[in-house]
Amino acid sequence: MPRSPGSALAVPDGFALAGLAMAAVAVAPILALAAIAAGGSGDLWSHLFTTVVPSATVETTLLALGVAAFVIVVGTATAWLVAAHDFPGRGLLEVALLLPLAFPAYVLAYSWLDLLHPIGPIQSAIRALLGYTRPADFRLPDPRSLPGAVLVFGLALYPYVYVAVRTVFLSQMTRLTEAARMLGADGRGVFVRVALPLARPAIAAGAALAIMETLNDVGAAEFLSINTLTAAVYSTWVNRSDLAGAAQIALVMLAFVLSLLMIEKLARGNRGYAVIGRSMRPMAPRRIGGAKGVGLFLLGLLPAFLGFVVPAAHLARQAWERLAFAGVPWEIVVEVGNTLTVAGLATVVAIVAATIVVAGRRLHPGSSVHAGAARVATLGYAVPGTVLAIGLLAIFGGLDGLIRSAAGGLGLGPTGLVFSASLGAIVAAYVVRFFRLASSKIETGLERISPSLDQSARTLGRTPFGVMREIHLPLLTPTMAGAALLVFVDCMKELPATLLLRPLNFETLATHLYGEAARGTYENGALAALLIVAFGLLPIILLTGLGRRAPVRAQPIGETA
Amino acid sequence: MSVSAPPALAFEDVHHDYRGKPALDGVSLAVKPGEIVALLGPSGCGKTTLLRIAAGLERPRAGRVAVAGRVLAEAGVFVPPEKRGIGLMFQDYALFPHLDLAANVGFGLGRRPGPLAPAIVADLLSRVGLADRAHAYPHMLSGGEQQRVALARAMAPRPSVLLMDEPFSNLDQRLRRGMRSELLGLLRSTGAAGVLVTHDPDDAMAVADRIALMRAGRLVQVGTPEEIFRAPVDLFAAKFFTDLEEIPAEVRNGRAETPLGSFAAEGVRDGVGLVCIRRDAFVLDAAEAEFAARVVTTRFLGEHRSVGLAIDGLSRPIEAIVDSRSAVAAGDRVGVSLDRSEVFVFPA
Repeated sequence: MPRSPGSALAVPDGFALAGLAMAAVAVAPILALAAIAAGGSGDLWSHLFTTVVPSATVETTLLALGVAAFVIVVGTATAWLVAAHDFPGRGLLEVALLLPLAFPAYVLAYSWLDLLHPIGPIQSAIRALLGYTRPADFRLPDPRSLPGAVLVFGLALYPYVYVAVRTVFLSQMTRLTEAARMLGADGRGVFVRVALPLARPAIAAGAALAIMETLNDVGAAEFLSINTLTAAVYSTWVNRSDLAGAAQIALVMLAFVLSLLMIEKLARGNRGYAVIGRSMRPMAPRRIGGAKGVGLFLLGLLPAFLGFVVPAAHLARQAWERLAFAGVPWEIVVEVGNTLTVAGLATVVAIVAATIVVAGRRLHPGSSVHAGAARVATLGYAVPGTVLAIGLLAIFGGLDGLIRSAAGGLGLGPTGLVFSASLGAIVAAYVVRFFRLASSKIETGLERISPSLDQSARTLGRTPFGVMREIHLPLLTPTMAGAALLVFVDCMKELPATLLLRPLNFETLATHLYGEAARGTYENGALAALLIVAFGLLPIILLTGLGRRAPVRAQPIGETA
Repeated sequence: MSVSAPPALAFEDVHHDYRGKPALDGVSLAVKPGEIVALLGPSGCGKTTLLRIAAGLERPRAGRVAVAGRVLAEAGVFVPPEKRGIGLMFQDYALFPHLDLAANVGFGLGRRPGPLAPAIVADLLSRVGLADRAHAYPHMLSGGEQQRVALARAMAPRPSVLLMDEPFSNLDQRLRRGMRSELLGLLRSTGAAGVLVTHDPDDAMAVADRIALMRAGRLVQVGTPEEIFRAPVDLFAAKFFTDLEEIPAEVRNGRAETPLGSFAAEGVRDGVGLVCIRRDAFVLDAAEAEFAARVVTTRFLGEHRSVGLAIDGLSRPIEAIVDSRSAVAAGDRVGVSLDRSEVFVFPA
């Protein structure tokens, strides 16, 4: 049946239905959250709001501000260092600075706590060096404090700013810095007057991502004794079994995230800096040799050293000792299987759904249904995992209640929990949270396919679905593979929603690590942590492979083609 | 201008290469104060590299660059771009997207511009016809307007030399003509010397006092547009300006013999040569015809008419460009003469 472009409103097609379904899945947990919160008792509400919420809000705000300051300074400085300077080891540094991305904050916190333990390797070494014999004689300040938490979160999250800002410096800055120098600005002037203002939107975006990760975190803050809102949501549900109370705090968190997104929009400014021209030649760096160059290299290496090299080496050693002592523990094998299963399922669902929704919007230009559904479906990225999990618990709990009463009416025995605490709940949480990651990558890939290909396929008799199947999918395969890898690794590392939604005795690598850290045991924790970090390295390899560029000095310059 | 005044910009035996691939091979060129020189050549001939070396964006491997007698680059000396006092207009304009037009133009006046800065900016913006857009942002402008801002910005610090990288390449034909005269006017009024890089001989001839024709990292010929056009030193130089008909010839004792007649060929060694005839050198229905031809095709091109001519002794027809009012039709037999100033003989 021939379909005119504007007719989507009248006859909802498969693309529109898929989009609406994804939008509903993204919005339902928030609606359920609001409904449950409204149904909670008023006593508890006021109790929570006088005891838990104020202090948690203050600690969360302080932590967020500290992390923001750290990632902005370190991320921007390192990006400028590698983009505008040339010194021995610069290429190595460019990649090394990405490595902390492989460490989720809770793994980094786990590793550093182990390293800095009073009888851990670092303090023992210092004592040996200084001639003390007992741990009581000498002690470093406890990392379980706000400054300690800012450092750990900052080291794990500064690469968000580094990546975003470095991209701006590399892709947009060449001609502009040259123009600034031709107009008399020196290196410092170029940075302050041109590079920094241009990078501001990227800095804001990267810092917002880092803060959202901080708000999302449930493990690191707890290990480091910071009582955040997320921790409050978690303990209200797990320790007090108070879903309504947890939902109320979760709504406070959502307000927190919304204000963060608004601040980010303001910080970005309302002007998008449309980049004029198509200068893709990388910026010509200032060459710095000798001791000064070595110094810059070492300074730049510090965040990567503390955020990756030291903790990774520690984890590797611990894991090696454990393997040598006990062989490959069976529980880890099971957990790897569990992790791969839920992450794999969620990845397949997210990629398929994202492809359909994104292609649907493109194939129905001007349709507000397709565009609106695609937009709403991505909102889940902003919802912290704990908040999302509480919303899903509310929905699935309600469904289980319905089944129970139906089964009771039919005279059947107790049915137990069918929906709650099933793998389906975890997969749903992953898909909602990482749908935007999948769809943004696929959209980028789709934009590289000329719309005239779609149009010619349509005039040659293909339906929109036919265009997606015969044109988009074959051309998108590499893009989809890349997107799948990113989603998969993010699912693997996900802790807060997994922790709340997993069935009894179902452990993934992340929940195993959390359990051992929470109990204060470190038996197989290092092995689980090392595996998470190893998988986390995959997207970095992808990132550096794609971002590879020719050395700067040797480009034929600006000759017109 | 006194005779002893040092050149506004001088290159002396400049060499450069990229990753071992030679880009400039001993270029020497002096630009006089107030003079406009076009670096003309095909892609990859090194003209943009030479421009970037003048700007200080590249450091030459060998040779010397000086502005008004002050050495900017030679062995052991390298003045960074911000200390050179040279203006550069980028091919893609490189306007700062986060600054409005006034701030873009005022950028070169320093971080803490003096009390005169607003007046300088306003004056330049009005001279390029954008006085009322001072607070617009670059992305709100058309290509031609962006070009004008780039010009005003480069001129604001009053450089003694203005470098321009393909200044007209992003403009359509009509804008191009307007921009050429605007640029000339602004340069002449400030007395700055100008060096522009272009691959378009029309741009070069329209703007430059002298043209430096380049190929493969070397200067082929330097001279006024008319000198180069009238007396190209080799086939490359001749072909760069217009299309040519190339007729194989036999050169003997300073004459080149062809089916079209005999041509003076002083200085060309005996043997196989090439007689090159500009297409507008042909005169049809000439009173004193030098040879006969048969018209095989004609095409009306507005001001001109393209005529395909079959000539006895040539294996394929040649193309002549004549006044479109001359009425010829396919099949006509015509007597043809040649404007000998448009004919060049080179060794093959």
